[in-house]
Amino acid sequence: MSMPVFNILPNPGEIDFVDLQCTRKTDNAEISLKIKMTSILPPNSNLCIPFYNVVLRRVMKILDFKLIGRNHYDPKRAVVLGKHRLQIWPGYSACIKRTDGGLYLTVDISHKILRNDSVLDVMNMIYQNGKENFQDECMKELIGSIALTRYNNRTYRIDDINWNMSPKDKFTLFNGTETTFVEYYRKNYGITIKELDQPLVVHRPKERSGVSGKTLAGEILLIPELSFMTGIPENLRKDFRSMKDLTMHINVSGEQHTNQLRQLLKNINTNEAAINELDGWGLAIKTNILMAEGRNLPAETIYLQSSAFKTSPEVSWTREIGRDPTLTCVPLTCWGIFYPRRCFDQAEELINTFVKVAHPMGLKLERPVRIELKDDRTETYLKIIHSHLVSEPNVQMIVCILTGNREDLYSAIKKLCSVQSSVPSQAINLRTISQPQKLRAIAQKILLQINCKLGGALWSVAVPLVSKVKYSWKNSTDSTLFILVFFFFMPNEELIDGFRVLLLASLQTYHKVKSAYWFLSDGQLNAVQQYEIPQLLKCFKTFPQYEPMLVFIVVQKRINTTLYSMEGEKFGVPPPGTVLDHTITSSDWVDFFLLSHHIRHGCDHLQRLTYKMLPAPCKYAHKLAFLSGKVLHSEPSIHLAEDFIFVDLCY
Amino acid sequence: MERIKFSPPLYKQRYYFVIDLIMKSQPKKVVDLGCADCSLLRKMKFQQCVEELVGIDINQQVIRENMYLLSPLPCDYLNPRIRPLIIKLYQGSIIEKDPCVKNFDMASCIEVIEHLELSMLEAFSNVVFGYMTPHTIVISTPNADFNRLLLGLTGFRDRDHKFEWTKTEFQNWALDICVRYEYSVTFAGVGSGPAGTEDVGFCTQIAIFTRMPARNDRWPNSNADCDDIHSYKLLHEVKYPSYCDKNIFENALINEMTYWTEKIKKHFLNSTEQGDTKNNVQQDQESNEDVSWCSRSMEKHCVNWSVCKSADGYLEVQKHGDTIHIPLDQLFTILEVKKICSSVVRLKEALLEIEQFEIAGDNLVVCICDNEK
Repeated sequence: MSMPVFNILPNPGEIDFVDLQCTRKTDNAEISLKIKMTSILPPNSNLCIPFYNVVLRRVMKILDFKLIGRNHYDPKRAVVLGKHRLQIWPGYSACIKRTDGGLYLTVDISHKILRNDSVLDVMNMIYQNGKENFQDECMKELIGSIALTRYNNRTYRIDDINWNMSPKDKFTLFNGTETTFVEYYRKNYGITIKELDQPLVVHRPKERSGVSGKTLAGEILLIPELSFMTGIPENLRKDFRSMKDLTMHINVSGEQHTNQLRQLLKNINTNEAAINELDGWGLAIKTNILMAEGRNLPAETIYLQSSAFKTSPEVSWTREIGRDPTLTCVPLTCWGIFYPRRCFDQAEELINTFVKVAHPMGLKLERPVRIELKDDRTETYLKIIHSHLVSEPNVQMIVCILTGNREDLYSAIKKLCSVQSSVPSQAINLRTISQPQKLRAIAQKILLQINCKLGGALWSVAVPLVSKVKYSWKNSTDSTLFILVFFFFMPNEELIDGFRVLLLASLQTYHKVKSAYWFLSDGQLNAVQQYEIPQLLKCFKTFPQYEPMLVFIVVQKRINTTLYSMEGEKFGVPPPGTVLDHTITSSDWVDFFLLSHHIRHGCDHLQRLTYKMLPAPCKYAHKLAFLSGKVLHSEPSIHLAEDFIFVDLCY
Repeated sequence: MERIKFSPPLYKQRYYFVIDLIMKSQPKKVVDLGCADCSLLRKMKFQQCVEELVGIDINQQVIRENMYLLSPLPCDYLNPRIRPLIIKLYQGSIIEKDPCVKNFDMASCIEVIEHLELSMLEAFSNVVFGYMTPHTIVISTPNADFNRLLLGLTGFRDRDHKFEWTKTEFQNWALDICVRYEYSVTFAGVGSGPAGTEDVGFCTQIAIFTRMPARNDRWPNSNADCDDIHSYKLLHEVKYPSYCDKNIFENALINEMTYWTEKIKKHFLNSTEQGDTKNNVQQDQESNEDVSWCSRSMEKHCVNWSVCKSADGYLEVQKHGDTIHIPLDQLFTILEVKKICSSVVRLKEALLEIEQFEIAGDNLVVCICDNEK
C-alpha cells in the first residue's frame, strides 16, 4: 500500500560559504575548514531517498518496533503458541520510494516467527529424540535457518556447524589481540557462557567490500547458547494441523490488512517524537492509503499442440498442460541427476514419476544417469558435476537435488553449468519433491521447464501485432523478428557476463531465438541499462544482416505492492488481467503492474513488468510486452530455483 | 621512544574495569555521571543484577542521538530478565542536585572531572559525596605523570581538559574527600607503560570510594529542603521486559507449562502403552560422535524426564482415572520454570490464578483423554 509523503525542505537561503575552526586532538594544531555549497538537491531527487529511509527507520524505532532483518516488528503484540514454543511477532516492512505519482511510503504486513529456544536448546532436543545420527540431524535442522543473537540486533543464517571448536577456543579481534569466546562475551556483554563444550555455529557472509575496499570473506562463529532460532521448526512444517493453526495467525483478510496499515499511520501521526523526526527533514505522511484507477484486460487464449483453451479466472492450466502434448518437444536422452546419498529415496521416486508423466505430455524421455554424492557439500557437487561434464560431452541437462535453501550452492552449480560448459541445468529443492501426493504435479512442471530449457516451446499466444511489425521491417533475414529479453528479479544474483556468452552461443545454434530470460537482482536494473543493452547490441553486430528488434522486458516477481479492488466499501482481490500503469509506477522506466494469477486465499502475488525499447519506440510494444509477460507468468510458478529458458513466441 | 599503543584501547579498558567492579559488587542501582554517548550504559545493561540504570550528561544532543541504543533487543523479549530493569536518561549538571539519583549503590564518573573548572570541583564533591552519597563511586582521570611517556604530547591530552593531575595531586584530593565525607578509598588504574616505567603508574588513574558504614547515622541527609529541587530533565525512559511483569510472567509460565505437560502426557501414554520401564533417557549407548558435552548438558533435561520413570519404584506421575497428577515440585525442577518462578510456592500460587490449569493438592492435573478439538 502506498501513502503519499510530502516534502517541504526549508530554503537554504543565501549561504555560499561556511567557515569553521577546530583543533586536532593529537597535537592541538589549528585546522580551518571551509564548506561550500555546490548544489541543491530537490526533495524528489533519488539521492534523497536513502536519507528518507534512514529517517523512516528512526521513526519505527521511536514507535518501539524492533528491526529484525529489514522489517520492523512489535514484540508487545506477540502471539505466543505455547505448544510449539513459538512466538509470532506482527510487524511491517516499510520503505520510501519515488514513483510517477510522487514520494510514497510503501508498507506491507509482515510476521516474524521466533522461537523461545536457543540454538543450544534445539540441539539438546534433537539429542533427546535419538542419539544416532545426532550430528546429521542437527545439520538438517539448523543449516539454512536464521539465528538471532542475544547481545545485539543481528540475524545470521546458519551455514555450518563446527564440531571441533568450543567457546574455550581463541580468536583474534580486529585490533590484533587474542581472546577466548568465553572471555570476550564476559567482558563485552557480561554474559557467562554456561556450557563450555558446545560446538560453534558458522555463518559465512557473502563476499562484500569492507570499508577500505578490500573484499571481506571469512567466517563468523556464533555460540549456540547465545543465539535464538527463528523461523518454523522442521518437525512443525510437516505437521499439517499445526501449520494450519499457524497460518491462521498470519494470513489476514483484505479488511484486516488495511486496518493494520491504517493503524500504523495513526501511530506515526500521533507520536510527537516521530512527527518531530520526520519534520526535521521536512517530511510528513498523509493519513490515507492511495487509491488509484486501474483497468482490466480480456482473457487470453492459450494454444497447445493440438488444442487450445481460453484462460479462465482460475488461471491454472496444470490439468490441460498435463494432458496434451506441448507445442514442440525436445527428446531428452542423455542427462544426469545428482543427489546426496540421503536423498536416494526421493530421487528414485522422482525419476519414476518423470517416466510416468512424460508420455501423456508428449515428451520423449529416457531414464537419466543417477549420480549419488557422498554428502551435500558444495565442493562435492561441483567436483562430481564437473567430472561428469568432462566425461560426457553430449549431456543435455544436469539436474541437481539440493537440500535446503543453499544460495551459494545454487549459484555455484549455475556458474559451473551455464558459464563454463553451456549446459542447461535444473536445481530442485528436496523439500519440493518430498511430498508424495504432490509429486506427480511437481514432476510435470519440472519436465515442462526442462523441455523449455532444451529449446522446446510450451505454448503460444496469438500475437497479431507481430505480423504488423513484420511488414514494416525490410531488413530481416528470416521470419523471426524479435529477440525479447526477459529479466526476472530474483533475490540471489546471477551472472550477467554469463548471459552474453550464452546468448552468443544460442544465436549461433538457434537463429530462431526469439527470447531468453535471465534472472537479475534488484539493484542490477541500472547496470542492465547502461552495460548489458549496449553489449547485446554489439553482440548482434557480429552476425551479418541480423538486426532484430530488441525489447527488454524486465519482470519483477517478488514485490511488496498489494492491490485490492474496492467496490463501495468492500475490499476484494482484483481479477486476473488487472493492469495498473500509472501513479505507482516508476518514473524511470515504462512499467505497469499486472495481476496474472488467481489467488484463493491470503496475500496477492503481483507481477510487475517493465520494458525498455530499443532502438526506437513502438506503440505496440506495450501490448506485446503485456502478452508475452502474461504467457510467461502463466507458466506454473513453483518454489524451484529457476534458470534461463528459451521460449518460442511467434508463429 | 616508541609510540605507546594500548591493546585493547584504553577507553575499552576503562569500561571493562567498571564492568568488573559491577560484577564483583552486584549493585542494583547504578548511575553513570557524564554518560555522553551511553557506551558505558550499554555495557552495564547486560549485567543482570542491575535494576535501575541512570545516565546523566550536560549535553542533551549526544544523549538524544544515542538513546535508542538502550532499547530492549528482540531477545530481551524472548528471554526476559528475572529482575526488572528501568533505564533513565537525564540532561543535567553533576554540580547541581536532583533527588533522582540519591542513595544509589554505585556511581561511575569516567574521565569527567578533568573537564570541570577547578573552582567547580568543590561543588562536585559536595553534590556527589555529600548529597548523592552512593555506596560506591569509581572516578577515573588522566595521570599527568604518564604524559611524558606519550610521544609528541604538549599540553593537555585534550583541549577541553581544565587540569591534569599527577598521582600525588589526585590521591591527595581523594584522601581529603574521604575525611570530609566519610568514605574510604583504594587506588588503581588501567593502561601500563612499557617495561621499566612502573614508577610512573598507569595512563589512567582510578579511585574507588566506598561509603563508611557509620556514615548513615551521622551525616544528615537533609531530605526536606532538597527534594523540591529537580534540576535534571528526563529525556528518555525505558522499561525492560522481565518476569516481574505480570503479563510476561503469565505468558511465559503458560508457554512452558503447556509444552511440558504435553510432553509428559505423551511420554506417559507411550510408556504405559508399551508396558515396560523404558524411558527416553537412553543411557550412554555407543554412538560414533563425541557428544559427551551434550549428555552432560542433558542433565537438565534428564531431570525432567525422570519424572516419567514408571514402575521402577518411584512413579512420580500418578494416574487418576482420566487424568494424571504431576507433582508441582517435579515441575519445578524444569530449569525454565525455575527461572520464571522463584519457588514452588510461587508456582502454585501462579497456576491457581490461571484458569486453564487445574491444581489438586500439590499436583498439576492434566487430562489424558484424547479429545483434542
